[in-house]
Amino acid sequence: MSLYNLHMHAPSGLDPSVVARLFERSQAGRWGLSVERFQAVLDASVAHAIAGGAAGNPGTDIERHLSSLHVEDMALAAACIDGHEPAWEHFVAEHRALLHRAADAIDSSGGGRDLADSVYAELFGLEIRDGKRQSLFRYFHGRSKLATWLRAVLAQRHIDRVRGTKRQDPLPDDGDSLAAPVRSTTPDPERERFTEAMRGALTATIAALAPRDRLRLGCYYAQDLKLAAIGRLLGEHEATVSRHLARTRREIRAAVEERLRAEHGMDAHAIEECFQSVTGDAGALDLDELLGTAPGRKKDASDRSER
Amino acid sequence: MASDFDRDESVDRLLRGASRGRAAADATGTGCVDAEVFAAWAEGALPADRALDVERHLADCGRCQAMAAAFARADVAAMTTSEAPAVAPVKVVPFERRNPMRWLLPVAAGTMAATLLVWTAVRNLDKFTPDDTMARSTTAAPADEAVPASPQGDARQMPALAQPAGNAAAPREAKTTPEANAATAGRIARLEPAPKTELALKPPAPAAAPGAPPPAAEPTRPAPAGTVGGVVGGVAAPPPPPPAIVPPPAAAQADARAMAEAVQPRVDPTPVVAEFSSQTPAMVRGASPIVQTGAGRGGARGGAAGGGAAAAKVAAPAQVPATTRWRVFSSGRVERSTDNGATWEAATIEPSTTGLAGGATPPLTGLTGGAAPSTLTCWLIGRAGLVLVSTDGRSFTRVTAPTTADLISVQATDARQASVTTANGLVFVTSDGGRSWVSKGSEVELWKTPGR
Repeated sequence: MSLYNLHMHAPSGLDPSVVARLFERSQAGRWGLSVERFQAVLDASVAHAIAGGAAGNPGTDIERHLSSLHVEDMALAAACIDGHEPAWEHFVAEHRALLHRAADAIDSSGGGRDLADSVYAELFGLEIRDGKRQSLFRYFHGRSKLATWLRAVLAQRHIDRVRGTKRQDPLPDDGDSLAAPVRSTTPDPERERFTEAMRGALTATIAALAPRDRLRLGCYYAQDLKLAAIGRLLGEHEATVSRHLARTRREIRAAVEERLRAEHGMDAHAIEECFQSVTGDAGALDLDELLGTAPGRKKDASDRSER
Repeated sequence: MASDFDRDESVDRLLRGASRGRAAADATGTGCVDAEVFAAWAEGALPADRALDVERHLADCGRCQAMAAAFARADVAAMTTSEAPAVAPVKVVPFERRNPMRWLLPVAAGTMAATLLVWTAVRNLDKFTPDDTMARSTTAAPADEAVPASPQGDARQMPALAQPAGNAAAPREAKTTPEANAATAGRIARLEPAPKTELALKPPAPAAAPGAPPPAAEPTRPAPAGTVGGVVGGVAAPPPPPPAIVPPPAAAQADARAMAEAVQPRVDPTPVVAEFSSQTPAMVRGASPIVQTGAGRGGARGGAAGGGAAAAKVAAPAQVPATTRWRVFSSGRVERSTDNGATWEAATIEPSTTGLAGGATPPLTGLTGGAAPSTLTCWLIGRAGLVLVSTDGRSFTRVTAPTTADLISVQATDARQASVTTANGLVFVTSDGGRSWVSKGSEVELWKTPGR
């Protein structure tokens, strides 16, 4: 039986010596966690990893998954789920301040504390189902540090809140500044044509970029992240991010010019005019549409050519 | 007509000026990554293919991209406070900001070097001509023909630089100095022509080839009277001290390696991911000798932030004969050669400490590099914090993982002391053979400098 099958059909078939070793490493004993409970946590983690799509050699993937688990954090989370008082106190001492700081950084409009408190309540598990508290910790499977996961949860909750709020916002009036881009005062008969041509060329060009290049562009232009923050997110130095952005802009410019030339028959002079015209008032372009992040325009990943 | 730069900038203005924020907030979030997977991706803990899937989704999904941005802000905030490394990180200060006048130093050094090169080249051009070299290759100059060098020797040659080409008196005189003889003999021994371009770029190398006379004295040092090319008063001078052992040039080493591989063909057809000897740091193919790449999602996660500084923190490895070599295959096979690559012996790796039921031991793929501080000691690193140590040159033992991040660089002093660098630039040091590790923080401070 292969390792993959072994774990697919008998999740609890982990080598007891491995479980014991990981149990010892996790220091789960200090939270009163039994080996069986810890093994159940490990099983859930492995099952979640397999469900997430383990390609390649499953045996190696499971091996790697087990060796990379943050078992200490897993044990703490499991103990918190079980309502172990010292574990919860330990979590509060270690992570609550971090939670609030992260929430303040995420929501600079002053709602950070509220955001952190709501996540904190979810972690404690206010919802009772079948007589048991449903703690958010049950979604933590140890693939990252607990602190990293908490930040990701905060970010996710924040975005969901923003989306929920925006859905309830009234649609902007015709006179709203967001509704229609301000046109330049001088009428330009070519402008509509230039804008449409530029929109099509830019969208197609950006869609053809590699995912990482598109993500970098999105983080910089759509999300307004600083280079250092993008660097931390993508594991690159900020100078590297800057260099990649410059390269991507060069590639976009060259490809857009090529498309304008090939698809719209523009010569060098017309291309320059097109750039000047659209750049002068780029508000007619929708960044999310250009970056492919707008709903309804999302393409399947396989449709995008990767360089 | 706008320049390329202007048009690049216009792309920047286009993207900055485009309206935003209306569509992404309404994204449905179908098939979005959950917080657990996202956190693992952010730590580089996902397998490469899964990480690429996540990255592709983040590039396409406005909702997840916004979540990633919020996460990044929180991450930066957290890192600048509670999770800041205990050791003060190295601050990246732009060169020009460190000292406003410091740019003068390299400029001055460059100017001096260029002047010296030109001066040396012109001087050598006057000293050696192909004809002259050929003549000296067939007949040795009698000792009494030589003009003893004097402290003014160089001073006398200097005016010759400004003389017209037709005036050969001064250069001819200079040609008979001991250093000229030695350099000429050295070149003859190496059977090299003396093209003028070579002389212009390369000053005469010290005579290291077998049979060549000892290196010439320093140009400014006067030779004893009657001394010409190691001959004193017509009697052979005492033999010079044996030349220091010089490692063969790179080309010769490559030839030797090729010959060795011809003698013993490679057993493992998979690519070699790292090859190193006990004298040199590990080097992943195609990477610099210190910073190794190839680990982590996207290929090189923070490679530049890697081991350069870490290398400086650990003492240089002990110098041992370069005949012990190691190579690591992508399949996980590790081989050692004790005869400079003529034959290779596979090293064994202990059964995995995270082995599964049934005792099966899947191959240890994911090794990214290694370092051998001595002939018997070798450290290997890999993905997901994998660290293996061998103290007998034959079997490797897995030690405690300092982290779960991918490791890209290792520097080792001996079997107990080593430092590893993760793909995201963190450095961990052990002084007890890998039983415990101490984080030394990030080598490069990523979050300090204002980005835009």
